[in-house]
Amino acid sequence: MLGYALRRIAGIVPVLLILITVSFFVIRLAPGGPFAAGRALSGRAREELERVYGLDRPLSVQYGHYLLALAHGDLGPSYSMRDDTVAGLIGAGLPVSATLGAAALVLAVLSGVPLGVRAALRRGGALDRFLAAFAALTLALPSFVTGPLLALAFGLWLRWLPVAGWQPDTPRDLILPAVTLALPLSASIARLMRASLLEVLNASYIRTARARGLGRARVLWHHALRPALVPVVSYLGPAATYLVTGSLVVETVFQLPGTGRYLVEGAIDRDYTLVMGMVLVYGTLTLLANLAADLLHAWLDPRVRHEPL
Amino acid sequence: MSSIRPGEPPGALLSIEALRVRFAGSDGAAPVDGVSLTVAPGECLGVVGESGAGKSLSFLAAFGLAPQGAEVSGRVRLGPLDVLGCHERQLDRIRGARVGFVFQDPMTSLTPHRTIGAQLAEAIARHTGLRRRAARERAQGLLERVRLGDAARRMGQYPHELSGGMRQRVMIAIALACEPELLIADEPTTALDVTLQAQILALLAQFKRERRMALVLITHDFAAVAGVADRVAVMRAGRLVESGPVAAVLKRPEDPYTRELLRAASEPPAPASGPASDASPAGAAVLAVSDLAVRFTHAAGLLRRRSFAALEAVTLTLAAGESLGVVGESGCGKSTLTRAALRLIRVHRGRVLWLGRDVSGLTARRLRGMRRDLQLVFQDPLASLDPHLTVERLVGEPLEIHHGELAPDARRERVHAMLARVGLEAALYGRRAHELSGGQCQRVGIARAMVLEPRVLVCDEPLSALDVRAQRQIRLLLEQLRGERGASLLFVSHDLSLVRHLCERALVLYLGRMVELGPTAALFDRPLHPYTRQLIDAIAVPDPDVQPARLAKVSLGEPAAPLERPGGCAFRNRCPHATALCAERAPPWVAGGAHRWVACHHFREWADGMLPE
Ligand code: SF4
Repeated sequence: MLGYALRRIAGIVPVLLILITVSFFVIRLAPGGPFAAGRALSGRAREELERVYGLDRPLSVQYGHYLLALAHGDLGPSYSMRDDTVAGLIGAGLPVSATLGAAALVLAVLSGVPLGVRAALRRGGALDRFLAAFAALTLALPSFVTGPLLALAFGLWLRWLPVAGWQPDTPRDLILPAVTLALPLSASIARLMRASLLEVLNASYIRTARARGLGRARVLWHHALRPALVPVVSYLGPAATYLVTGSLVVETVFQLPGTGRYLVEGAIDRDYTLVMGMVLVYGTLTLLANLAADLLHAWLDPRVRHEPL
Repeated sequence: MSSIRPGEPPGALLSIEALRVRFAGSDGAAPVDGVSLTVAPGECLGVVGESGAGKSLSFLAAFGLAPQGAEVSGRVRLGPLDVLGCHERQLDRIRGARVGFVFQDPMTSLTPHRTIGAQLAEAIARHTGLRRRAARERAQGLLERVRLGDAARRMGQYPHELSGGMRQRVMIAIALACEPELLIADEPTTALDVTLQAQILALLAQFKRERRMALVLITHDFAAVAGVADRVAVMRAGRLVESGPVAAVLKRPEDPYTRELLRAASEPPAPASGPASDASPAGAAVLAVSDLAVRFTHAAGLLRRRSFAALEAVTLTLAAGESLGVVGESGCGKSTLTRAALRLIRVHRGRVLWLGRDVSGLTARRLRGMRRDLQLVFQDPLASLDPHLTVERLVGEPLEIHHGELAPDARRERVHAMLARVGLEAALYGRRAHELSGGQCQRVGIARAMVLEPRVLVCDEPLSALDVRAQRQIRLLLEQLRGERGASLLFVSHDLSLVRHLCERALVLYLGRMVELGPTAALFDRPLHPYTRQLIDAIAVPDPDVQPARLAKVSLGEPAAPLERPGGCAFRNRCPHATALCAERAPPWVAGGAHRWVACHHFREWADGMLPE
């Protein structure tokens, strides 16, 4: 298991390098630049700025410099917010975004898995029908609709929770955004869990387990649950991608000072270093999520563990 | 409650009366429709019939294991207990304790993420109340009793780390864990090779004898029944058609259906003889393999890899029009051999000559041309057919690929002619693979291969996934096709009796090496290698007078594993004639008579009965 994990972690580095390289060149291929015409800069000032930031050098040189700086942990200065470094911006926003994402994920798993199990065990029952409606609703409504609706209900009418905004060290501020982000994920997980448990319960090893007289509870907990979790775990990779894009909207709706906005603003402003920094951070997170999913899969299924890579 | 009903022999352990199983919402015939039978303590009842006859379902339903949605009615009693009236909790105290189950497919019947030891121990702990340690100790003892080698290590392994035969032993150990009064074995030997089949059956027979355990043997194999059962029940389409003592039913079947099944199972062997017989001049060889070696690697620990020889020093020729059988138990390398010859896997050493041309350097395009002349029929017909295509498309596809020049009309004509040739009716042309029976699927597979009029047809266990009647039909079809099309046949099988029907020559492999090669008839008359002898002895015959005795002679231990090949002669740990020389040196491949070859130091002595047994 340890060997498998180490091999997988080592596999991440080259993928990241490719990601950095591709996005480095692609974003510079897009027309315009951070100090391009139309941004109220005189030609001279622009040339001066480009010289200072090294943007007049050949691309390959810029690329080399970037990698070198990166190796020292330096993400460079932000071109659009000129008082800040990229590392500083991300460092300030990431804790908020990461807490939001993690909270949403935990909520979604903790609600989705039991819901799916229950629905599978009582197929056609009340909860099963509720799940179908719940899934249809949350998957159809975008979070810029559910978010305000929740804020309206719990913030304005019931006055239980703050409507928007964020003060440091007040976890209450995160509850509504996290729930908004978690809802569709929870529905997807519940549906996956339901379908896969139903399939596993039909497997012939479940029949064998029942034929041994093990009893319902033991068959479910010791024989059916782990294999049934495999599709859910594989879904964690795509779920991470959803959390990244979803947090962007939710952070805007609830006015959270996270990093989501940098992704959009950085791209619009052609803030090369900021975009690269975001790509790097979110790329690493997504890769780690996929890695975690695969490791969990290996833990769930010994056959994966023993496969030569 | 306690009154014995008429027609029920006193003291029946299990009695099933008018059992019916229907599926809610389906208006077709009930899959089990009024079955009544009894099993006495210590008795073995063989339940025979084709797939879909309702044999398994009857016994699953009797103990609450039928699939969801099944409506079960009738009466089932275990001793005085009314089983159908039991709650799930009561059933859980019967299943695994008083009644043990062994299911067909050991590959999928064990929970993949739990170790063998855990799965055994939990059943023991549940029914006996033993503590973990004690339960595990008892579990290991059980594994030793079912002759699973290296039991202590197996306890910590997962099902996928074991071979099919080993898993079936584990299944039996689990079923026997709590000393049940009744064991229900559902096709326990299907999908296992001949040697293993005999071993598993012998094991079951032994437990039945020693523990006076009643046994229900559900199977489509009359030979299995002949070896173990005391009474037989024949089922067809959810009903019992005939039952009685094994000798009576097998020797004087009354029902026409039973007669037909029996005929399919016991065709008198007509040794094959063909045009090219055993003279195989090198010039006419369509396929020549020399000194072929294939190695497989597998992970052994964190970063280490071990490799083992799956195939070593194999040399053979296949003449035009000839049929050659390759036999041996699972893991002997027979499938590897065909795959290597077709260049579907990497060859470690050696040459493959196809029509005199070395194929190792061929480009992908040339190889495709070669594959047109060299077609494959697979073991699992359903898995090898594209589920989206109709029968007609499936058979037409190879023509499209390899004979693009054919006009659509001409192509359709050829496809229809071929389909008619393999005995598929026009009504089936529009069906898809999953809408066909196993036998029909295999016909499609054969039509697909033969439509190109290949020079060589390679069949890899083409019958082992089919039931008796389908097996017989496909066998007859292959025999006919071979006769009229003049294609050479490379026939891979664990079933020696099949090779005897179909092939002029046979090659016996053991752990990746050739041990004997010769004309089939001579090989059967007077095998030169002790392993060939054992294979012949393991052929089951559906005769209740001889089969129990043959079964009693079977050695119960596990067959050799390719990873643990002994030095010297690889067969020596199973060979009754082994001497010090056998441990020291591997026997050379030498001529043993007209067209015969063998690798055994002592073949002359033992084959003539000189060595003491
Ligand atoms: S060489 Fe020896 S051990 Fe091997 S088969 Fe012959 S007699 Fe048996």
